[in-house]
Amino acid sequence: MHTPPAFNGNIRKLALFESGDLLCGLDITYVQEINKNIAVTVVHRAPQYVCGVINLRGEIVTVIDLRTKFGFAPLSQDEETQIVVVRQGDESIGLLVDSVSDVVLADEKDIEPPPSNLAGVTGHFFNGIYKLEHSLVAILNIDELLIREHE
Amino acid sequence: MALIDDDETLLAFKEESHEHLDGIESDLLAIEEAGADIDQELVNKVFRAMHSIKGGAGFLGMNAVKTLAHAAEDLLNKIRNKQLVPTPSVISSLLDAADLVNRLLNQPKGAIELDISGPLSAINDILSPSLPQGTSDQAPPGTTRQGSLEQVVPWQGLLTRHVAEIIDSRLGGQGVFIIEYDQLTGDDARDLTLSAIQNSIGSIGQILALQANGIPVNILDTETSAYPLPVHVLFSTMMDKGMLVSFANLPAERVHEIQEQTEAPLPITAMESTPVPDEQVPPKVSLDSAPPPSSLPPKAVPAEVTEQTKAVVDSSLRVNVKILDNLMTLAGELVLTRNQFLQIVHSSHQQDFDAVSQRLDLVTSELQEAIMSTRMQPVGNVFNKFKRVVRDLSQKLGKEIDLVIEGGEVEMDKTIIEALNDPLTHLVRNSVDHGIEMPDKRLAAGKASTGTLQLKAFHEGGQVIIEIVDDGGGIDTSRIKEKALSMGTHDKSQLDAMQDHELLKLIFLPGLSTAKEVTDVSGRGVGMDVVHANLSKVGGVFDISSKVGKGTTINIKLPLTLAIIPSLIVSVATERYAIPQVNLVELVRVPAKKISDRIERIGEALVIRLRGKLLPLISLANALGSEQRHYLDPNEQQNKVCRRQRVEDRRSILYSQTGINIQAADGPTGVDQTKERQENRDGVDRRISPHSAINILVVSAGKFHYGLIVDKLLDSEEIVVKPLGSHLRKCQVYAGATIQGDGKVALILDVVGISKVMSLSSVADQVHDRAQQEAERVKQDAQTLLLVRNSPHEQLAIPLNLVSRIEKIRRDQIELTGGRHNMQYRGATLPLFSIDEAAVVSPLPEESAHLYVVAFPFGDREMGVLVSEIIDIITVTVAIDDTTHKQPGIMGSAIIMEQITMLVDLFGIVSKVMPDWVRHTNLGAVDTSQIRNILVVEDSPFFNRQMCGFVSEIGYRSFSANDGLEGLALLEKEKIDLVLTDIEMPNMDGLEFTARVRANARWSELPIIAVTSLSGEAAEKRGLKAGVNEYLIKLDREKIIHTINRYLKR
Repeated sequence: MHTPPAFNGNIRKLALFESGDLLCGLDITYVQEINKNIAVTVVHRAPQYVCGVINLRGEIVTVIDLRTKFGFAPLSQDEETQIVVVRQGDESIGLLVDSVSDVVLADEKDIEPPPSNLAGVTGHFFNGIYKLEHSLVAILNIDELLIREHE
Repeated sequence: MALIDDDETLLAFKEESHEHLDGIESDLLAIEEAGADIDQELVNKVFRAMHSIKGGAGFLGMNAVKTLAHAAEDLLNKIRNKQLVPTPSVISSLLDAADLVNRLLNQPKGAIELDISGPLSAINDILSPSLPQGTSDQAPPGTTRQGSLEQVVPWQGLLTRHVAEIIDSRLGGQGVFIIEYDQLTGDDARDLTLSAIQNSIGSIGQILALQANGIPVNILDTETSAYPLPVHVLFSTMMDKGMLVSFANLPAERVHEIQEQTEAPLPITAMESTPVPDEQVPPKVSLDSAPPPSSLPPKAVPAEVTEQTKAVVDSSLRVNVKILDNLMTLAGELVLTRNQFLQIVHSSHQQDFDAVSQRLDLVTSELQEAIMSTRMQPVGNVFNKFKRVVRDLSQKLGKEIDLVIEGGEVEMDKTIIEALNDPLTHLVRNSVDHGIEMPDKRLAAGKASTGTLQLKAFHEGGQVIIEIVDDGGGIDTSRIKEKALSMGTHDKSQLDAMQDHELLKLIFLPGLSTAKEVTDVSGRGVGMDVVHANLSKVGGVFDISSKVGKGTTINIKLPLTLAIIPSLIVSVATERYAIPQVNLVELVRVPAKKISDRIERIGEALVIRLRGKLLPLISLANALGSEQRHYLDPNEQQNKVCRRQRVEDRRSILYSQTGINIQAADGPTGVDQTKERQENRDGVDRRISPHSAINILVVSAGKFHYGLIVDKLLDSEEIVVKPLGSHLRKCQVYAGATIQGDGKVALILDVVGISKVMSLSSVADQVHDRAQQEAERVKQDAQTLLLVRNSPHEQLAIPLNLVSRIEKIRRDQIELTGGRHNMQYRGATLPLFSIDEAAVVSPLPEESAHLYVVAFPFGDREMGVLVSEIIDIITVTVAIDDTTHKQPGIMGSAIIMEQITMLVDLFGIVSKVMPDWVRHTNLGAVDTSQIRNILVVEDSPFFNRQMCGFVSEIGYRSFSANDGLEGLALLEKEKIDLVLTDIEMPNMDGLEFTARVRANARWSELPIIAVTSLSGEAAEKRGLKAGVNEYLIKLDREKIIHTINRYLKR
């Protein structure tokens, strides 16, 4: 864990997870829960980025494969893969990620606007970039990520 | 009176009043229909309803409601006493009053009071003319209407002493009565104590005061001694007199109702503190002189505003207490079972587990059922509203329309019933406005001037069907075409390619209305699309058929409930899917070796031949976008990808003489692999093993059916429908998802969506065309035959019309008694015989453990033919050769499915095997001293010879004609005693022939028996209408003979 830095701006809590080549961060207020080993039921004729649906305590939750979304090769579900369930409107949506690594406290002032392109992924999926000691965290723009794909 | 500020009471009152009002409407209409011949009970019912509303309104200080209800009550009272005939205008005023009361009740608290002057004055106008009559029975204060006409009644003292109580009670909407106990004899008289009176009437009202022998008695006295007679009880109750009398079991002449007159001298206006002008008119006054409408300042509530508040959705419903009790019991059971379950989980004995889980299963499903039943409501709740709609509309439009309601008791989920309201209203209005013509137009078209609109509800296959049938002008499809062209929704070629039923469905497109003029009832073209949308929302499937000049039928299929639906679980590869049972028509399993016969291709489309009809097929795997099919490898017990490119390629196996398999088109596999695989198989070829059979779900996608090929059928389950997320809305092929017992998600298939995705309607059309061509061929004299085998290589056919049922039996069920084969069946003996007992055919194989019994009626009993195999049921029109194979028990042969097939003559077999029976059943030859002549009119040479043959066999002389024309000629020439005629014939068919014969007075009594292969009620009705005496099936020789004998012997 990181030692909390001396804060002097607004602090955001970010959940960190990996998807393909990217280390992503998501404001923890969006995250409803993180699940492992839930059987995903394939939905044929669904948009490509949807890898299926899961039963989340009786609710049918659509699971989106972040890798496909970002244009990476899809990863088969394994021990590490996890589903980050986020709430959008009145619907829960699962994000299939390679692994969930950490939760960090990020100072607002350390967050920079995203470049137009990040590891081959277009920038509009991200709200900003947060620098860790060894790597960059791409902060997800969850609304953009989910709404854009209704077409 | 102060307005009671108690929301709960108010709510309860409103709810109750809504229920009363719902009932009132249909009751009033029924009263109107009965006219002067009033149904006392019905009027009383409405009276009571109004009375209750008045009472409640008075209690809650809703004065406008009270006044209106009161006026209505007065009017009803007059109807009840036969002082007023319930004419349409009287009923209209009552209906308007009821409507207004409804609106008043729905008004939010504190809203501006609605103007009640209209309906009120309408009622009063009706009441006033009958005033002279009316006053006559409104005797001076203190007297009663039904009571004696004495000026001073013995209970006057009671009335004067307790004016305040009486008024209070009356304002509370209660009726006040004097009950006399004065001439009671025997035990009653001795024991007349307060408690006895309390016992008798205390539960239904309140005893206000009591006097014994003219002396007031304190009702709080607890003394139990008997009162001196006569005792008069001042009593207030919500009941009316009739109810009170029957409820308390009192003689009617001892109960006296205290009328308004009592309160008239009192300054009622002073008690009414509300400044509403019409309220200042005491009820009494409203009876005597109607306040002129102008005297009431109009209130500033425009009609449109009030309309908006009208639509109230019932948010509560009354539930039968029994159901609730049952629910409570079940909930208790469930709790107990859960406790048990928990206990067992802790101690975990496997065996107990089974028992408890079974119980849990049982209780849960019962509980579910009980809970569901609380939501069920009769569809009549919606239907009955249309009595009013139709009445008002037809009056307005000047049409004469009878509304016939059938099946109002059919129950459906409340949500669905509510969702039905608007669409049905629209459809009914449409029918009334555009469907049914004006009376003069109807008469000109040769129809009755009164049109009929039928609303029907009935169950069919776990669904509820609602039909709206009118006998109006029908919908002209050419007008729909014009309209669709002008709107540009379709181009001409598209429209020309459409069939009528498809064109009719276009009226559901937004903006498409074929009404010539827009009326305020309908015709703006909005609506039908909304109807469609609304019904689709609750899972309704539509069908519409219409004949110009004859009328229109709209058919709506609805599920019983939406929450939990019975479904079939199927699988493709490892994935499971649910298909709602409502969409399922049937399940077809095509054995591997039959695939080539049954499944074929028309263009790119796959079709299956099912009972002579072609049905488009879709592989579910393809529909879901997966290119692969799967099969379960019987050796390895696992799913493998099927290598065949096409489903029907499975037929590709051919056996050569040497028994070596030659593979023709087994997918893109090489010869080497084939050999290799060949070695892995243990003699049984997988492609003809049961595992290679194809499972087809025949599903209904609204107007057409299609087959869905799935890998496996798993189970039938009740599923709870859950919606899919927004990202999956556009998939089209799913109706939702459900969670299965193991916690996994199964998707629910949308069969209509699938057919759209696979653009199946065009395929359906192709298939339809093909089917129509085939139907053309089959139409005339088609026979439906049951194909069977006695021995493995001989194919036999039995006319299906004669068969009552088919049973599969074990060989050891056959008993040999008295040299005959028999079988016990439902407590009786079923005589059995095999075809080879009578005819020279190969015998039944000895080794088969199971046989089939084809049972058929003979005389008044039943017999059974034993066969070894049932092949199929087919409808064919084949030339029957009645010479080559003709022999006792065989009437001829035909080539069916490329095989010589012998037609079994059941009658011939019976007469050969059991000649006694034939004599016994009075079917034998008749006394030949008097020869009777029978004319056989039949175009098929085979049947003609058949019938002439057996007619002569039993001793009649037969004359043969090939069609109706020849028949008529023969009738002229010969003295004919009876006619046997076919229906489907060239030149002149049987119906026309019969009609012509009947038209001639000479032959009006001539017995005509129609013999036909067209079975069915409709065909029979047509025949009987044309004038035939009997309608029989062609090959049912026994019955035909019996009927001939019946007509000619007596």
